[in-house]
Amino acid sequence: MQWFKNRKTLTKLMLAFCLMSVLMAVVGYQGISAANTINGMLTTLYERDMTGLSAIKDAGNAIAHIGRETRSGILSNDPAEVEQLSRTIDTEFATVDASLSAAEKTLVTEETKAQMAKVKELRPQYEAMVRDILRFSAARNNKDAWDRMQKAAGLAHQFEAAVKDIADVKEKLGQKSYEESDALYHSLRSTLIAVLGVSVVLCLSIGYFIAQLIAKPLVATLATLEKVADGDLTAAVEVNSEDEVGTMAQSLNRTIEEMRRALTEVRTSAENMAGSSQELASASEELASGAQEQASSLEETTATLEEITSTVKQNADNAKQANQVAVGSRDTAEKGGSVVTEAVAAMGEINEASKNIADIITTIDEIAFQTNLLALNAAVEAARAGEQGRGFAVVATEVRNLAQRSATSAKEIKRLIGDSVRKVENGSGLVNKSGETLHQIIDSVKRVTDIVAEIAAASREQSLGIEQVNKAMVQMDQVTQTNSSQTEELSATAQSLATHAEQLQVLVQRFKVDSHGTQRVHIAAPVKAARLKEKAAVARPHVAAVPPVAVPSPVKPNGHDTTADANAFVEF
Amino acid sequence: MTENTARSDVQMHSDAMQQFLTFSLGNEEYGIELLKVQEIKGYSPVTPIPNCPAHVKGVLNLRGAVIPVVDLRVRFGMDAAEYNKFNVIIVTNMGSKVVGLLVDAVSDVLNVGPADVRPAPDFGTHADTRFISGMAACGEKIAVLLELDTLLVDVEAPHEAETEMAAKPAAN
Repeated sequence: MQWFKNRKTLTKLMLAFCLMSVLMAVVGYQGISAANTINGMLTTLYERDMTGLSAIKDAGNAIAHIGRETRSGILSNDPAEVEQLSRTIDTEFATVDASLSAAEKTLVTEETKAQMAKVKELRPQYEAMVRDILRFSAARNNKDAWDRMQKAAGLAHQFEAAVKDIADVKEKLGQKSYEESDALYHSLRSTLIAVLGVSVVLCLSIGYFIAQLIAKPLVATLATLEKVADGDLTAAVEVNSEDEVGTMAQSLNRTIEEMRRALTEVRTSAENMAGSSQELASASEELASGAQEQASSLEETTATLEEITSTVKQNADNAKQANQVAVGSRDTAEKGGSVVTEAVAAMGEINEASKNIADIITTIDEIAFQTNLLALNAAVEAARAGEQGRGFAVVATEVRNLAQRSATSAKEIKRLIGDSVRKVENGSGLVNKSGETLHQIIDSVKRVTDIVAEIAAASREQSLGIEQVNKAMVQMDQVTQTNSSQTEELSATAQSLATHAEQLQVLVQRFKVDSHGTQRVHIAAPVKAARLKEKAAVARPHVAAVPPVAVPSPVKPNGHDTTADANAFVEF
Repeated sequence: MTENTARSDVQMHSDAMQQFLTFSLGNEEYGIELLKVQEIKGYSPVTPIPNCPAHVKGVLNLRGAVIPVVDLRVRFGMDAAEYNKFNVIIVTNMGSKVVGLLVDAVSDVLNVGPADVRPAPDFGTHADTRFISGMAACGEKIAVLLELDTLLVDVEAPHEAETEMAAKPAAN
């Protein structure tokens, strides 16, 4: 039994159907053989009896025709007509012969055979008679013809009766055959019904048995599937055969196990996801608070930036003032320089004059010197002259004194001149120094101007820098905005994720995968990210564009204010 | 006036006074006998003569006469100095020769008595002792009296050329 159970369904069914086919074959065979028998009988009936009968009847008809035509021949007066009738009768005789021979083939009983012999025996007599009659008729010997016919009447009757006897026998035989077949049909019908009934019962029982074999495991599988559909993944099917259903049950078991395993994993994952989404929510909250801090930092930075802007503006103003002052100083210094130049020129003139005086004094000195020399010479000569030269010596001495005095005065004057020149030189030196100082002042002023120009440039750059910082601030503000909205989205997403995780857990909860219950991970409250957006929005108005700072243009050394470069700067 | 007369007069005076012409060289005062002084000139450009001793600066054209000029600074071994128009050339006439002495300046005519002349110590001045005949007070300073003959004894070189010219009496 187990062997059968373990066969494949196909095999089982095939076996059942084979059995059924066998039974059907049996029944069929029975039927066919019965039909065969009946067919044989019918054939017999037809071939033997009906055909024979028909042939006999044809023969009878033909004989009747012959009789009729013979009579017509007798009645007719036309030899041509008689001739024609004769030919017709020939044809009829042929027909009779043919029919008789055909009928003879179908004769089986002794009785009929004897009768046929008799017919055959009578036939030529009849034919001779007919011919005679016809001859007589043709010869317009109607009287002989009629006489002959009267004599032959009994023969004709015999002939006809013999033929008719055969026909009757044939009919009887036919009837007998029919009755036989009828009885056979009835018996066969009963047999068939019986066999059919047995077969049906047998088939039904086999079918039921096999259906049970197949259906029961299927039902069990179905029941398990129902349990699985209801969520109990611990169900399993009992496998008690190795046919397709058995293997299907095995596969189902395995499927259930896999599903159970997978679902367990899903459950674990759902728990994890719930935990992770919670972490995500808290991280999102941190992010939100971070963005909040960023927004407040932005505010502070903006305020600082405004301060810086005002400072830079002050710087620029101061630079401008410094420039103006430097320009004033430079003008003054230049005036001073020109005054100095005049002073130097005046002193140069003084020096000139002094030099002239010095030259004259030198001349005087030389004159004194020469005078001295001459006086000395005179003294020498006077000394040489001795007594006579005494007076001359005195004169010479006086002249020398005068020369001395002259020289002394000249020296004095020279000294004074020297003093004066020295003083003038001092003064000149001082004036030069002051001139130098003025130049230095001018240089310093120039340097100051340059520095102021640098300050201006630096202020400009500062302005630019501040502008850039401003832009960056605006960008940062936008980014913070984006951040906050993203954080909001993130928290919303985290929230929805948490919800989904819960849903997932709920879904998974439905399935029973193990004996003990499961814990659900509760998701924390959603993140308050909405606050952040307000904060960021508050920060935004402060980060307005800081206006570009007006910066003085650098003053060129030639003293003319040049036009300011760059677009946004105010000209001074 | 003749030399003799002059000399005798001098001798007359030499017992009482001698007259010296004092001149300065650097920081020192020197004196020479006034009678030997022919004239005192301002500085004129001196024509240098090659192959002369170092102290002979060159020759000078003195109203036609060519006289050698001695640079006393060199002679005394002093450092050379710039010469300008305030330098003085003392034209000395020692009878046989006329020599110009280039000095810094001329100071005065001194009347020096024999009592005022002191013998020269053997130190202190650049002048070689041979040249010094004595020392005399000159105001506050001491003038070193020079002996011209010894001073100018070796001024020979242009002498020969000049002797012919000096043949014309240097009369004045």
